[in-house]
Amino acid sequence: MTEERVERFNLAERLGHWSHGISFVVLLLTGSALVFRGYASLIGPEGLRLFRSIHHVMAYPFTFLTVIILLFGTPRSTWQWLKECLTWGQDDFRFIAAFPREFFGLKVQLPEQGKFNAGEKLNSLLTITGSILMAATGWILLLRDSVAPALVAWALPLHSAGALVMGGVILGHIYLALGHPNSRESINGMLSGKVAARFAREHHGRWYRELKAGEDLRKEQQKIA
Amino acid sequence: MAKFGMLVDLTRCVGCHGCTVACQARWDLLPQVQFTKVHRYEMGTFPKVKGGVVTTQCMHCDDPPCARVCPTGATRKRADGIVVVHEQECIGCRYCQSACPYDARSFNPERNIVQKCYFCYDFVENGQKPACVDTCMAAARIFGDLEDKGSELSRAITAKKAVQIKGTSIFYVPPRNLDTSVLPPDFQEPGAVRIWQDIVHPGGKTIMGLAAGAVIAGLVINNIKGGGNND
Amino acid sequence: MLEQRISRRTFLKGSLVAGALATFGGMLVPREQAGAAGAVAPETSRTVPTICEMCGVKCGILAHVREDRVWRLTGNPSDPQSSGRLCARGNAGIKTLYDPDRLKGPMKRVGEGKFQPISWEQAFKEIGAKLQELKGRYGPQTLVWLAHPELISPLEKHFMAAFGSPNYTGHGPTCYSSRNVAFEQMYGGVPGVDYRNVRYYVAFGRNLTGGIKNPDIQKIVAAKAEGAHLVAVDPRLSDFAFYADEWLPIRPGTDLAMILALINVIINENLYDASFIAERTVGFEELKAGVAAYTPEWAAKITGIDAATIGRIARELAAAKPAAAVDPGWHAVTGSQYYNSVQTARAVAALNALLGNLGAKGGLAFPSRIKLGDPSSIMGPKPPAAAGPRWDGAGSEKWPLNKAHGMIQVFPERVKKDKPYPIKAVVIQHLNPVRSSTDSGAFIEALKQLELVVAIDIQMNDTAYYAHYVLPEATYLERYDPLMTAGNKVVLRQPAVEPLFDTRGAEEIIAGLAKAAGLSEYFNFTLEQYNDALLAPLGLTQAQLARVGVAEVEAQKPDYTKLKTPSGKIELACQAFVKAGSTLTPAWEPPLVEPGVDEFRFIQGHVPMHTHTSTDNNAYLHAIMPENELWIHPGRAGKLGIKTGDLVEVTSRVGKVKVKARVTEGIHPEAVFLAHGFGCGVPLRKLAYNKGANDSALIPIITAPVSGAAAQCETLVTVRKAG
Repeated sequence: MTEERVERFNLAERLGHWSHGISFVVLLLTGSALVFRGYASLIGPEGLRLFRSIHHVMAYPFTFLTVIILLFGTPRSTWQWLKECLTWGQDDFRFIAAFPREFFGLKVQLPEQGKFNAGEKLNSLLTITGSILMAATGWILLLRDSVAPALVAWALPLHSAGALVMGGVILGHIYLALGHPNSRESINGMLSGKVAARFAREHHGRWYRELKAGEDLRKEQQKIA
Repeated sequence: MAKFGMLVDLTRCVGCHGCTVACQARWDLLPQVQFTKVHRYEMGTFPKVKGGVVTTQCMHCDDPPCARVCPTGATRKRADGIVVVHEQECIGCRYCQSACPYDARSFNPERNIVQKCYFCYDFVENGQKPACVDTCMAAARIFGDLEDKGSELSRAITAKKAVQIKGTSIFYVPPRNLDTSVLPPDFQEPGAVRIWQDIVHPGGKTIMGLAAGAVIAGLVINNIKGGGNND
Repeated sequence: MLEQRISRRTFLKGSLVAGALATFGGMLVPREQAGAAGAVAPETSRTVPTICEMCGVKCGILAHVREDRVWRLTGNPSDPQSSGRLCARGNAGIKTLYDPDRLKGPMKRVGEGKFQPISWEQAFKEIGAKLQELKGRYGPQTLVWLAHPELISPLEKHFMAAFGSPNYTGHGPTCYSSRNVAFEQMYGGVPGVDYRNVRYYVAFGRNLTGGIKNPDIQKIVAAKAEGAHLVAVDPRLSDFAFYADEWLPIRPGTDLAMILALINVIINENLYDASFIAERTVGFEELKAGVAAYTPEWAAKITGIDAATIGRIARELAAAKPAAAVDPGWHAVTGSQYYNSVQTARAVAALNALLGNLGAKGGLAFPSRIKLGDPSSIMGPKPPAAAGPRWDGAGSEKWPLNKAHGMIQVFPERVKKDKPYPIKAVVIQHLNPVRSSTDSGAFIEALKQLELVVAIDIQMNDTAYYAHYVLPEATYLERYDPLMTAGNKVVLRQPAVEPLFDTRGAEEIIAGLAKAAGLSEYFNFTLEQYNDALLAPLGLTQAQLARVGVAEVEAQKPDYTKLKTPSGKIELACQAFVKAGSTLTPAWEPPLVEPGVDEFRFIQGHVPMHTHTSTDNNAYLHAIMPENELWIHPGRAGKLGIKTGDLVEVTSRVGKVKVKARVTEGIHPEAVFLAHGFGCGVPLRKLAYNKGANDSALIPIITAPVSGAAAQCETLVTVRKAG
């Protein structure tokens, strides 16, 4: 039986997500060869030189593409997303407190969430700040000859630190998107744009109600006209 | 095993740049890459003005930060104390340039590698002197084995009361007219390098390890709990 | 809109593949070896002993060659000058040999700054024909040969003698003429200083560590390490003033006053070497009378150096005698910088005599002389006596003491006025008078008036730029040269590699010109035969000498008791100077010009990493110092609103240049300084072109009395901040 589906993310939002995600993964994979010595010796100096070239090329889409897509492709929903991420209520904090049990598949009661649950809000904030840090320190390193040497010297550990932290975050993010039984339906929101209505009701209840309320309102209006 | 070092007697140096060019010529360096540099200082007010000269180069540190940060291990310290760069293994990431507290490293944009003074290890292995020592008209440079108390270097250090830049292989007789603050400072690992290698790397790797562990644990637990809802 | 739902599995698989490709894909793409330093087979390496030509000192070097490429230059340990060590220029020689902008073949001018390659045959043919034509119309004296004296000069002089022109002209007046004239008359020759053993050394303007002489630096450093006291008297904190124990910042042009005062103190306080004076000099009483008025107080007013210091230096100098020396100098205050340079050099000569240091350890010394063979028997018939006087009048009644030094700086005036006779042809070899003589603008105008200008050089310098024919000489690393002597050693220049491109040694070029000009009977010998003839009395041949490069031979030590002067002694009082219109003993003459309130005296000098105008395009040396800067005192700079790095305009009565300023406490407020050798005007020399400023563009043509030297620091300039 075909289930009812609701649209969570439009095309621009999805393109924005994937432009960021793919460039980030490539940057992480090529960049971590400069951190993990075992990895470096595996691919050798030749491989490292190639990785460096790829890393430098990917800096451009990572820095500019996502922002352009979101700002010009879907400015209103982007603005909504940012507002939500910065709006935290009681339910959000309780969600975060309860989430470790949820992550490891232990039984727990989670408070009702909006379009973005508190974990997703946290992930968004970490991603935004992390990406700004990585881009800023990364461009300092790319343009090191035009910048004070002291700045370059500190950009190096900050760039490494950001990469390693973000690397940890993305492992969790991919797991939750693909592996965790309670959240892996969300991948469809990023692929087709739509998620199962039941999933929306159960995990993003407040959002689902607002959506339906909006739909009913529109149906009402049509009738009158 | 020898431990090589160099003494630069700045009371003899005349600032002619012969060392700079002798080194560039023998390593076939680009004109803008200089392994050893000459710096001039003037102090006082007319008519009482004095001058002095200082030469700088790679200090062949006891615990080189450049070797710590090198991702390929191209830069390493040999058993005889000489810090070398295996140029074929260098990928030109320039981490070492930022890590060096003495600004002694040069980027070669044509070959995309970083180079620095090698103490002419190939000459030294053949019993010859480094090019800068060989050419100096003022005989201001002495090179040799610091562990051999009878070497010309060791005897000169004692006789001239030379000052060691602590933590490195370089000694100076300070220039007469200038304060010793014009000499390179004693070795101190730059804060950025220490934080990077001692905190960020192990800490960051731990974070990633924990995240990976958490993911695996989560997968395992969820699968044990019965396949999960395939939606 | 993605209608299909990509299954989780598929997505995971896809990511893994992408990740793997990213990780290992590098190995699928073939890449060329990055910068592999190839191992070199030792059999293709050789070491060639030869002679450097990066400056005029001609140190013996070893050229290290790998696979027919010179990769390193070191001093030759057997050479008495280098003793195995080299300065920056010597080390940088490979960048001159492999300079991409060097001349690659003979060229003929087809327009302003435009040249067309021609063959050697065509070049010789056309030049030879033109020379003969001009000789026919104006006489052989119409040809002037301008050159920096190098090992080849005997063959250049031979060409001129064969041609019938008396006009071989060196660069002396822009360098050492005044010093040489003074010492030739008073000492019978110009002595050097025994730098190794000196205990008290005073340099008036001589910048040992800037105007570098390799052997002298090695020795003075060793002397200082053993406690010698070094005094630098100079209007600026020169490289030597940096190194010396004392810097006396004298008012420029007044060194003569201080030296006369030193003589005054030493004589009046009876500090001179009385027995030396009695036995080895003449004219002491006249000298004593001549310096009576030159007290330290008098000198202090003129020089700005206080009387107490002058008195102290005199006493300390005398106390250290005879291992005490005042440098005869080279190009500075005793050489060619001031109108009073001859007097200054005479005073230096007299002061040294009072110290009794000629021939003493740590004093002045003449070199040993080697008796070489006479090659004239292979050089053709004896050339006829030259037709007429020199073009510049050197050695004539007006300039009796100038003899062979010439007066290159008056070239523009003589060409313009056809005086003493028309000058229509010039050959310029290993010299760049447009930038090394005075008044660059005037020199260029003169070149344009000539019917034949031939330049022989390794690079297209500012003078060759205006030549009708440019003939590329092979560099010193690619050719043989006539033999060199240094003390009791003979030294050979021989090629380390074959000449690059289509270049030739100067001896081949001169022989080619001679043959084309109808003088082949004078050039039927090879350079090897010439050198063999020189070496014959020493029991050596060029081939034998080539194996070692340097050989010690029998040499005659100088006889200090019998000098080449009329009396055989040092002539403190000299009639020859009176006949030349000067004073009997050294006397005070003020500088020719005095800067007004808003003016500066312009002074110039040398730097340790460059040689004249010939190294500004050498990649290694250019990287160390790509341009010069105008040194200016902070007080005066402040009044003009000038800070370090500002572009300023410097204007003299003959020229104007723009250059960056460097505000420094290390210069007399009356003076501004530019290092000589910058401001290249030839676009072909890509590194050097338009870098810094050409000092010679500011210097007017002046001829100092008695020596006929230029007086390069009798130049007044105004300075203002440029846009």
